[in-house]
Amino acid sequence: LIYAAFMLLVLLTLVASSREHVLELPLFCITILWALAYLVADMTSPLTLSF
Amino acid sequence: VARLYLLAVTLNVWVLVGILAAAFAVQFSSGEPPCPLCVMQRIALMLVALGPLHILLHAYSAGLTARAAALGQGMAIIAAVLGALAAGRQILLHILPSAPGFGSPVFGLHLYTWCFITFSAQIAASAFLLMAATRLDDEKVRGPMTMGTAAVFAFVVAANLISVVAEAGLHWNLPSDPSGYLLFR
Repeated sequence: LIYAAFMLLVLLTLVASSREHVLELPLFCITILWALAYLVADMTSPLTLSF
Repeated sequence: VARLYLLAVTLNVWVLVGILAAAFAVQFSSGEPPCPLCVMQRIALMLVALGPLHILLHAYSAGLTARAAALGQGMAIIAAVLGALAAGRQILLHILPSAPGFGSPVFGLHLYTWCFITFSAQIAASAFLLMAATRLDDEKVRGPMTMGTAAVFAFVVAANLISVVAEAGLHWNLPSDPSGYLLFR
């Protein structure tokens, strides 16, 4: 369900963007950083994803 | 210049939506649920699209500004770097000469290789559009089909969300080599 959470954040960012809401950029940054942390954690551990 | 810029940005979103829709079509036509890294690349494509969508939506409500254009292109570049990392990781996992790769190839290349090419092209396109943004004056112009473009993008994201929930079931992560939809088992 972590991937669903990422996609939900994308939708929330889109809604914030359409309303010119101040949370647009923080939501975008949180999603990017969380996804990056998830990817780096996978890269630096024994193979788990897509193998 | 402003109208041409918004047309280019709209086209950028539609290309990304087209790629996401095509990946979705391959998923169901070939009966291959996406692997975790494939889903990460789809998420990165969605995050990339948020950049040009920021520009379109800002232009729709308050007019096109160089500031909004710079912010949107910056968002697209950052997300494209994330996507290139995920795609590069998957290419490296299957780089050995005898490795068959993951999933079925499309036009001779695996989807993650196409993704890497897409993210690289996006970085170049966004950098170009970032340079072009210096030529923009603040203008009250709207892009073509802004709300329609945003609605189609939201629909594609929502469809992917439902698909990934069906695939993962109630598990936090996806299996590394998924073979079906865990929610229905």
